[in-house]
Amino acid sequence: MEAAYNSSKATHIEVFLEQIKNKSDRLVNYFLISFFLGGLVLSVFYDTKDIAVGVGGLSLIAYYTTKLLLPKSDIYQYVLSTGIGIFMAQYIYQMHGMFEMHFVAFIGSAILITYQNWKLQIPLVLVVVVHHGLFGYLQFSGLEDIYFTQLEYMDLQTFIIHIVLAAVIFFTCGLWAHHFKKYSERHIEQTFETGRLIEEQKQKEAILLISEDLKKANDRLNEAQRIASIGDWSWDLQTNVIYRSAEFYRIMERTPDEMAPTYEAFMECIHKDDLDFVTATINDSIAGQKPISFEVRVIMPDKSVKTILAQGKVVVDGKGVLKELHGTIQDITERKRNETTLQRTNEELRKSNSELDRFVYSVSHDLRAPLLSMQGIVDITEEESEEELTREHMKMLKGSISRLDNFISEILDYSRNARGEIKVNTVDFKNMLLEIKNDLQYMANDSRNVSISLDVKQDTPFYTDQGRFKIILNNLISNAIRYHNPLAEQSFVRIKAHADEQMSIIEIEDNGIGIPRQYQEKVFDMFYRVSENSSGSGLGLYIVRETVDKLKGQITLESEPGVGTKCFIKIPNLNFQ
Amino acid sequence: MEPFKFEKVMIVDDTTIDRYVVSHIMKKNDFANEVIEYDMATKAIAFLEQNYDKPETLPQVIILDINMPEMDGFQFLERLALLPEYIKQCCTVIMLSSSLSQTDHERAENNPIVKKFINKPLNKANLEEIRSLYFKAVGS
Repeated sequence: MEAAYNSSKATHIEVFLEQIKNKSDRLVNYFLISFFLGGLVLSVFYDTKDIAVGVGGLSLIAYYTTKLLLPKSDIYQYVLSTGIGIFMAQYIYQMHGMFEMHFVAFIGSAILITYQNWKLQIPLVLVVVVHHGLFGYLQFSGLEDIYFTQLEYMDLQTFIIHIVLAAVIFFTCGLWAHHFKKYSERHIEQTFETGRLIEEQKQKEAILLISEDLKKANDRLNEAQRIASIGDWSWDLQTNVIYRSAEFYRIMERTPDEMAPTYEAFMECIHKDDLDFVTATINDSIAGQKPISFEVRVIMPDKSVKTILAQGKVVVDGKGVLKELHGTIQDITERKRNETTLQRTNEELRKSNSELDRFVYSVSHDLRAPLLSMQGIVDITEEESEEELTREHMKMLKGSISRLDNFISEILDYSRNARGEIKVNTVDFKNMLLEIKNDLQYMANDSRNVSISLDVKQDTPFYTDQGRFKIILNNLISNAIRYHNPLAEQSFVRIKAHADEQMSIIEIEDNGIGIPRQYQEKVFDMFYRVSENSSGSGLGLYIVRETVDKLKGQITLESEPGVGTKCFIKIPNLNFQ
Repeated sequence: MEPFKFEKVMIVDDTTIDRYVVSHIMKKNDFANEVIEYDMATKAIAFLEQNYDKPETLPQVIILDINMPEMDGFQFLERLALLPEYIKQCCTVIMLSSSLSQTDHERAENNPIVKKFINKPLNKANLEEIRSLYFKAVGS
C-alpha cells in the first residue's frame, strides 16, 4: 500500500511538472517571437536587417526544430536558454554595443525561472561568458565592426563588477527556479499527504463500522445458538483441531479448558454404549465423504446424561481431498424425553384402544349369542304353537329381539368406524346393492310389501373403504324400509347410484312416513329418535354421518311427512392404484 | 316326492339351546335319520379322526359353531383338513354362528372345506339350502 502511495505521489508530481512545462512553453512562444520582432525593430537603427532575420531566425529554427524532434526530452529548453543568450548578443551587436542591451540577458534569465529548473541558467551563462570574453577582447583589440560596448574604455574593475552583478542575477534566478520547484513539490506532497490521511481515517472508520456489525452479528448468532440449544463446530482434519462455539461448550457443560479442541476429547464424553456406533458413523462419513447425522448420549461432568443430535457435512478441496468436517450439535434431551413419554402414551393408548375393540366385540358377541338362541326358540314356538295368542306373543317377542340385535350391530358398526383404519378397495355398486337388498328382504315381515328398485350407472372403478361404504348404504336403505308408510298403496325404495372418476352420487328415495321439518336437522345426532314409538336405536343415522365424514363425503336430506324422504350422498373416489 | 333324508348329521356347538334348536328343526322337517351332538369341538374331531376309515359312521353334514372354548370352529377345520380328502368331499361343512365379525365371515368363506356361512338361528329355508349344497358337493 505504501509503495502504491509513493508511486501515485510521483505520478502527481510528474503531472504537475508537465502542466508547468506546458504553461511555460506557451509563454516562451510569445517571448521568442517578441525577441525576433525586437530584432527587426532594432534593425532600423543601424540597418542590420540581415542580422535580425539571419541570427534571430536561426535561433527560432534551432528552438522549434529541437522541440519538434525531441518532444519528450527537455533539451529544447537548454536550446532556448542558449537562444536567449544569442538574442542578447544579437541585440548588442545591432545597437552597436549599446550597454543597456546587456540587460536582455537578465530578462532571459528571469524568463527561464518559469521552468523551475536552475540548470537552464547554465547555457545562458556560458553564452554570456563566451560572448563577453570573445567580443570584449576582440573590440578592445581594435577589430572593426565588432560591438561589445559603447564605452571607449572599460577598466578591469568595471568589468569585474559587471561580471559579479551578472553572476548574482543568474544565481538568484537559478535559486528561485530551484526554490519554486522544491516548494511546488512540497506543496503537492502535503496536499497528497492530507488526502492520504483523510483516506486512512475513512478506512479506519469503515473498518470500525464493519467490526461493529460483525460483533453484533456474532452476538446475534451466539444468542440464536443459545435459544435453540444448537452449538456449532468445525473439525480441521489436517491438524485435528476442532473449533467449537460457546453454545457447544455450554451444552457439554464444560469450559474450553476442560475439553481439549480434539476429536478424542469429544469421544471421551460419549456414553460407552454409544461409542462403537458413533465411531463407526464418523469413520463411515469420512471414508465415504458423506454428510453425517446421529443421536448420541453424552455424559456431563456431574454424570448426568444428555441426548444430542449431531449433524455435519464434509468439505472437500478442489482435488477431492477431505479437508474438514463441520456442523452442529443440538441438545435434544427434552425432546427425547417427550418422545419417549409420547411413545409410551401412544403404546398405552393403542393397548387400551385394542382392549376396547376386543371388549366391544366380545360384549356384542356375548350379548348377541344368547339373544339369537332365544330367537331360535321363539321361531320354533311361533311355528309350532297351536295357540293363536302364543303365536302373537312370539311375534312381539321377535320384534324386541330384532330391535336389540339391531342395536348391538349398530354399536359394533360405530366402534368399527370410529377406530378402524380406512382400507381402500374397489367397490362394485351393483353387487353391493344387490347384496344389501337380499339381506334386507328378510329384515322384517312387513318388508315384503316394500319394492326395492336399483338404477346403477358405474363407468369407472370406484375406490373407497368398502366396509364403511356398506354401513352407510345398509343403514339408509334399512331405514327407508323400516319407516315405510303402512297407508301407502305400494311402498317403494328407489336407489340411484352413479360413479365416475371423481365422485359417486347416490340417491335413496322412498315414499315412507317422512321426517317433520323441525327434526330434519337433528336426525343425525347421537341417540336422537324422532318419536318414542320408533323402533330404532337412535344410532343409525349418527353412524351414517360419522362414516360419511370418515370417507370425506357429504350427506343431505329432503323429506316431507306423509310423502317420503330423499337422501343424497356424495362420496369421493379415492383413485389409488 | 319325499324330500331327501340324510343318514347322519353332526352338530358342533357349545350352547345347549342352539344345539337343541338345530336338532329340533331337523327332526321336525325330517332332515336326518340321526343327529349327533357335540358340545366341544375336541370331542367331535376325535370322533372323526377315529372313524375316518369307516365311511358309514361319518356324518354327511356338519353344522359347526365358531366361538367355542378350548377349540374353536377354525381350529376344528384345521384338524379336519389333515384327514383324507374323501372325508371333506362327503361331509358338507356348514358354519353356523352369531358372529358379526367381518374377519370371521371372510375366513369362513375363504376356507375350501366350508360350504356356507349361515347366521344364527337356523331356519327351515336353510335346510333346503344345505340339501342342495350337499348334492352339488357330492356331484349327484
